[in-house]
Amino acid sequence: MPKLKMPKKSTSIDMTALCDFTLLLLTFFIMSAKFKPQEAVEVVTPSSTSTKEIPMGFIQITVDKLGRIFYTVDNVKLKRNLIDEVNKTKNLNLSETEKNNFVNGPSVGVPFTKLKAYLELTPTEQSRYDKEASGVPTDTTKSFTTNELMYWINTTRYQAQILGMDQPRFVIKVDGQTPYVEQTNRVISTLGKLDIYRFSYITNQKPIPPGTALWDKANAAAAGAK
Amino acid sequence: MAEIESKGGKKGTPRVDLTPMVDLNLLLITFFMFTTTLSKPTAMEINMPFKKENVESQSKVKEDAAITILLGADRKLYYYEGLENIEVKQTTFDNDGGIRDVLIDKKKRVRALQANGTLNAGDELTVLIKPDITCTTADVVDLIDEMTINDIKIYSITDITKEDQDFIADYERGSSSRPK
Repeated sequence: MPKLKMPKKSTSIDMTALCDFTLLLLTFFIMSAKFKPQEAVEVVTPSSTSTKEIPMGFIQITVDKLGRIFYTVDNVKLKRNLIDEVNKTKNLNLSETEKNNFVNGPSVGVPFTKLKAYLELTPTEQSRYDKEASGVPTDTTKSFTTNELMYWINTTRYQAQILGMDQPRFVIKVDGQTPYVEQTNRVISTLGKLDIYRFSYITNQKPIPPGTALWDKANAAAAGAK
Repeated sequence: MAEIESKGGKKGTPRVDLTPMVDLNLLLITFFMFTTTLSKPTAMEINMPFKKENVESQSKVKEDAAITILLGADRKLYYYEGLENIEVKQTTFDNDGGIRDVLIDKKKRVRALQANGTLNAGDELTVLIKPDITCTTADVVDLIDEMTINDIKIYSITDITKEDQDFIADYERGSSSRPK
């Protein structure tokens, strides 16, 4: 019986197609990558079924697990006016570089007395400092000297008004483990003192449990859209 | 012009081994996949009750339409219906047999009372949320979320009273009811 002759093929595969494909995927991920915004402290937010996006141009108040409060504004122009005003009224003698550090940096969590020293630091030193930072001094009083958070908020709103902008929305980014009455409530009552009763919590999305009123509503909306 | 010929005079296409390049690409893809934030954070909007002296919202709540939920330690919830002659019960955040079922049941009963005329159409179910000092923010957020899930329109977060704290303490001591 004649032996069946098998053609001898090389085992190497043409990698060109695979290379093309991976490069395409790589390009997609590079383009779509939006790096996590720089955060002063790590906060694990609670979950909710809300699907609303965070409003633009917000004031963000971060409360970490220990109840330390960090403050930032999501608007570069407003932030610049804010630091100019704070510099003037609190006589901080900030240099231009320090002001820029504030405008381009993450949330601050230091009292006004330490603000200059904090803004002198480089970003790496700042994030190291944030681990031991005391947070913005906040209490439930209406005094601007002891309740510095109130001072920050009030100045920001005033500057927004001068700039003719819409009043910024408030978002509270709070760790799920933070005690509510002792810590989170300090922020909420400060907002309440300034007659701010509407704000948002930053949450992670969680699926709507089936069989509930909201589930029916969501399904009805989906059916209506079809 | 002299042509460059490969060894042995074979006219083969020049081949580059692309394996390392593919390896590198895949490594980079993995890196970008992990650094990209996949789940976008969302905002849960809430309205706090106005703290004005002249507005006494609680007095308007009808006895049959009210339910008060107290948030205790370790994700424990205590609740009682009505405003007087109350009976404190304890529940959890569980999906089954937890606070959700309590709220759904209460909502049904308020509906029934509206239907038979005991309550006016405007007397909707009102939930009073009172966080005790031991509860965490996640508990409060979860409970507000339950309001959204169960489509409860009227709820308010208020400060816990000494009386309510006593209810929790009494319940923990074993007596679930206490005359007012």
